Amino acid sequence: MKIELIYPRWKKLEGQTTFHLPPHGPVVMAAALPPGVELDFLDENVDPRDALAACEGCDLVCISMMLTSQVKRGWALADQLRARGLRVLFGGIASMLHAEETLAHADALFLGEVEGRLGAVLEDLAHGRLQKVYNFMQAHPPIELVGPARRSILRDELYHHKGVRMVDLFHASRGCRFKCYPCAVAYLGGRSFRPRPMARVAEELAAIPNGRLFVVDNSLAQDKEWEKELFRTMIPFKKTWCSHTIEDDDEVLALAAQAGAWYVYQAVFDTSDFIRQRVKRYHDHGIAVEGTVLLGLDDQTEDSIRRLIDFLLEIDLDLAEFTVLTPFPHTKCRDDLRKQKRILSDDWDRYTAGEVVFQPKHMSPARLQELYHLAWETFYRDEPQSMKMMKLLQRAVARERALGTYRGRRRDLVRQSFGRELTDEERGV
Amino acid sequence: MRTDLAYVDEVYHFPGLWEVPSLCGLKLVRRPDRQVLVVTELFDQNPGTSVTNFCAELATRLTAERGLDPDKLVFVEHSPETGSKLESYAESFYRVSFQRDGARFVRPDWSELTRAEVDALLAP
Repeated sequence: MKIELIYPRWKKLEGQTTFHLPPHGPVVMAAALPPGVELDFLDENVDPRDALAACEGCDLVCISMMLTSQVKRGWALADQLRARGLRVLFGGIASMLHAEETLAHADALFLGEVEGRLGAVLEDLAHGRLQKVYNFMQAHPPIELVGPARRSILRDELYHHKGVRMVDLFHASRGCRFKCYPCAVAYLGGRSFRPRPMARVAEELAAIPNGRLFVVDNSLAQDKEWEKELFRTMIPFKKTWCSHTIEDDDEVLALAAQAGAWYVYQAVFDTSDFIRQRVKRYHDHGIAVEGTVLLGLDDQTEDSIRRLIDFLLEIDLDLAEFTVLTPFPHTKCRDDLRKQKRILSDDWDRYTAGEVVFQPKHMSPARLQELYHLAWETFYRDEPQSMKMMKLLQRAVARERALGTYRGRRRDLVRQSFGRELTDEERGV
Repeated sequence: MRTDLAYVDEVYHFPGLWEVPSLCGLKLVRRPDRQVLVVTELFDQNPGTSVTNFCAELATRLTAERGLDPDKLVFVEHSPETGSKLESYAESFYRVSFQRDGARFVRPDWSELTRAEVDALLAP
């Protein structure tokens, strides 16, 4: 059986450095396929091949969608493929968030986690009884079934920028015990925190050649003892990694640093001493901080957003990423704005978290959009984003040199960025 | 997150979207001219579909199960106080009106109520 797995492209945010990380959903899905399946993967964001042409002659097209801003492209592709007589199966978290709409473009829709389930789906396909919906929304497979992701399907050269390989994505747990205002994870992965057995974590770490990782768990601060055990497990692998929040505890942070914590994404939601101290404690342990700053909450006025931007500069963040509050499906944010009739657009292409698609409480949509751009410009005025990123990269290189794990850039790709030849201007010529 | 249960007489379990087990708080008060259902979002305790996302289905289901008169139904959605610093978690009440498609309630529309207005609806 021949399967084409497609990861649809989406519109990138204007004026920001674009990096293409190797996607996680497709490599996790690929690992769950039974033996004997011939699989080709095409990431439309970096792969120059034509997706429609790549699907010719295959038995099934699988479309994996992570982001809301991918869904319209995924649906359009599916419509064209099905018009050519091909069968299309959708999966991934954005397919779950937009399940009802996705059904209209699908031969089959897979809801939930795939481990141990795809063999039966392919059996159904082979016997002409493919079901419209495979619903495993809350029937999570045993977590020990989650094995190493199948990263061999990635075209490695497409995930380099000037010869530097992007981080690989890796997860040590699923689910999240938190239920945050703008987040849909509770709907997608369930409220119960499901850590992978440490032997499985170690097995996967050993299988990843890349020394730099993004630990994509929703939050590492789920269980202090688990976190410590995770970091102790990671130490021998000498990886350098970024992640979401780590527990604010000296012992945990010290272990994280030993395990290679490079930088964390830390939500900065106000100008409190709590945030100032949180960032300082990461820094005290040699862990850099990228502030993730959500703009447009009902608590925020123009003045408070301006104060927040100033505060970010004061607390010496290493990087900052600004997003606009976006009412993604299955979030409390969307429920509230829907009830208040404040959602201005359901054009999912605009749900990039960089575009205002709702009526803010204390300002016009246009003003919030201006403040979003102002935040990016102000934070990176004195030192551009590329320079700050270079400093972070140098920290990783220094650690790797000290550990003897440094690999250097791929010389054959130094004139390319994600598979594309750099222009003279981009090369600084 | 603590949840104010002032308008909860029972916890109601229901299969939410895609049959995901879900729950909400429920208070039902029958008056001669109205039957008031207060449905409370239970946030942390609710593993599934939110009340807002499922209100038309809940209204349909509860009307049938509890033998309510659809013409007298007053459906109130309650987001309880949770103690959060975020303004978006402040207590709120919405009266939800629906269109009817046979026995089904469809196309919800929300109008905000004060707590005093809700108490007046519940009063004899």
